[in-house]
Amino acid sequence: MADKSKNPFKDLGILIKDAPPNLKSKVMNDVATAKLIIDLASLFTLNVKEALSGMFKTRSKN
Amino acid sequence: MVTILKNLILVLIGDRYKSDLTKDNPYRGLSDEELVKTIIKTNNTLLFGIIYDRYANKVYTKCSGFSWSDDEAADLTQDVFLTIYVKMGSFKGNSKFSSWVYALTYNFCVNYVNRNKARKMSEKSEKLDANDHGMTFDVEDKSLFQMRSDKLKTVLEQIAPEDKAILLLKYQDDVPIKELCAILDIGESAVKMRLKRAKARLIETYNANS
Repeated sequence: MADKSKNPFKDLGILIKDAPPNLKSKVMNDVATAKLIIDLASLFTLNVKEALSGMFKTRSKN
Repeated sequence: MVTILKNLILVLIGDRYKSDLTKDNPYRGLSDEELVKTIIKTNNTLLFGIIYDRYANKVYTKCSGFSWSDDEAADLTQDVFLTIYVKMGSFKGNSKFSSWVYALTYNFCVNYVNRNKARKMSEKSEKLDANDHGMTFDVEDKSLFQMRSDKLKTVLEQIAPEDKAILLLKYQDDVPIKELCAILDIGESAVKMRLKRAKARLIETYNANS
């Protein structure tokens, strides 16, 4: 196992830049939009897996 | 109508986001893996803010390594986080979540760089041909660690982005080979071969520059 203190790749990773402060709101807006689109799409698409499993499932007598 | 609805939801989410995440949130103590499971289970996008807080700076730094300006890096970071959210369901827990995030970041950045076809052709045409004909040689980690970090930075800019990505994942982020297999969805021998070739190209470029 090589000595990690001498690993030059680690030296390159020491300096962590701060992400721009306004980036978080942009990302959260993107995520909210993505969720909205996914949720809306799920209203108009057929869940084949669920439909098939429901069709073949035997109902309990109770 | 859809735009109004979207804006309304964004406003509501924005307010909730401010009120919830600035307080002592019980979810903040959860590990990444637990948090991901909760986000998938509850479909709560607000919790994604915690994931963002944990990885924003690291992802931004990695994106900076593949871009020419801060604005470009910020745009890349924004797209990477959206991809993380959309693909979160495909995280199976075969590797650490951090490794998965870094691999996804590098993959996204490599695709971004390679989109520029002219650059792709000029950079790859000769080097790849030479190495694909069995001219790769074994490079020990020891000789890799003897490189100077300032020069290594320059050399990393010159090699193919795919090689840069796998080398950084292995030697900077300490992702084990087994995790690389799971993340990249290739066999152990394929990962070792990619690493071997990447190391050989790195050393070749490093020596050519000295």
